Amino acid sequence: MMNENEQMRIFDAWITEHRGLFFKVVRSFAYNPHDQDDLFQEISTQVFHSIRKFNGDSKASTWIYRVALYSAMRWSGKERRHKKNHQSIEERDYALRQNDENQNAQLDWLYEQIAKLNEVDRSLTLMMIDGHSYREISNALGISESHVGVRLNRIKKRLTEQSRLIKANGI
Amino acid sequence: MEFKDLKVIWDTQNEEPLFAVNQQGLKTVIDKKAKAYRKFIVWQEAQSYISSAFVIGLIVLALIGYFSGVLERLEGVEMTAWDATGLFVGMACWAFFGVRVFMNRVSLRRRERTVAKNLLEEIEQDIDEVESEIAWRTLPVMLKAFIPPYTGVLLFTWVVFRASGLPGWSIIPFCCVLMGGLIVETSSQHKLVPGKLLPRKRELESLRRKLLETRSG
Repeated sequence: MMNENEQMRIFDAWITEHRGLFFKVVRSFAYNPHDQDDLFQEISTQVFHSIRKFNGDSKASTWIYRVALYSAMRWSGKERRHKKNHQSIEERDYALRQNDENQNAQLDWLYEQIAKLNEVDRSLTLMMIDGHSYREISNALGISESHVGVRLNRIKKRLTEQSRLIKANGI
Repeated sequence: MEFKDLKVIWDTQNEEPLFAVNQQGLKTVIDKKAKAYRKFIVWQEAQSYISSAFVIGLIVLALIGYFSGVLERLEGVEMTAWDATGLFVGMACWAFFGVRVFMNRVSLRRRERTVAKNLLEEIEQDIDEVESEIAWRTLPVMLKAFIPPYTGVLLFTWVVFRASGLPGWSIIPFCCVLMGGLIVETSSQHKLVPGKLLPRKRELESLRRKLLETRSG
């Protein structure tokens, strides 16, 4: 049985190596600093607890994606139900701060498009655009490889069409 | 723009991270949440174990007093073999309750150790878990769980009242309090079904549906 120090050591390594992955999921599912911080804490907690279950059958990044995406999906549902029960922003210790200097309009647009997809399509898109193979996505989500392909081709087509539209409108 | 161009835009965030992490703050949050969870579980179980141990302890003392003849020598205390039988049954009820809590804990630990192969399997496991929580909160199942400890308390009190020579009707107010407690406990558990469990189940089913829709193209 893994002890808590060992668990924290692995978590530290994961958060250092894969922090970009955490950020991408957070930004795709939460849209203001308070929610982003809340979701980041939730994902981090779930990833921390999942370490004991990780047996190395898949890459750590695929495992973290799966845990992070499911946490985000569950969090979105809870958020919808408990929107009123927010702590005030002043009461919180933030674990996450947005780097204001890194504003990128094209990236913002891409996140906006991803946010328009349902939770499952969003998850497929994130993993695909982050370079995971269809097989890895299929293994992580439990969907057959061929259908991952079909679905992702549709999403790719939609995203490229949307990007042409904004270009055509001079945005 | 082609998809590969979108990928280039996407990859810009790898060089310039969107957020900065307060690692120490994060560790504190994780630690706090883990401690709060452990405290919740321990407190929940401790309540059950302590109340079981307390009532069983009292019953054992009463039985020792009865069989050793100590109670017989006390003035105004009169305990019969039927009273002792009542105490044995009460003790069995509480032991049953304690064992049930322990078994639930064992099965929770087993579930926590189960690793789903993928997200779909994890969602299905979570749906099963919510369904079993809902099933647990149906009236017949709840009564089966709550009636033993309540019966145990009632029998113990009945024997104490009888052995002390109090009139039979004097136990009625106590019965009303017990009944009230049982109603409050079952109804508060039942309220969790529409308030929390059914929405969670619907959400999980909706996620599963979306994944399966993907599966069928």
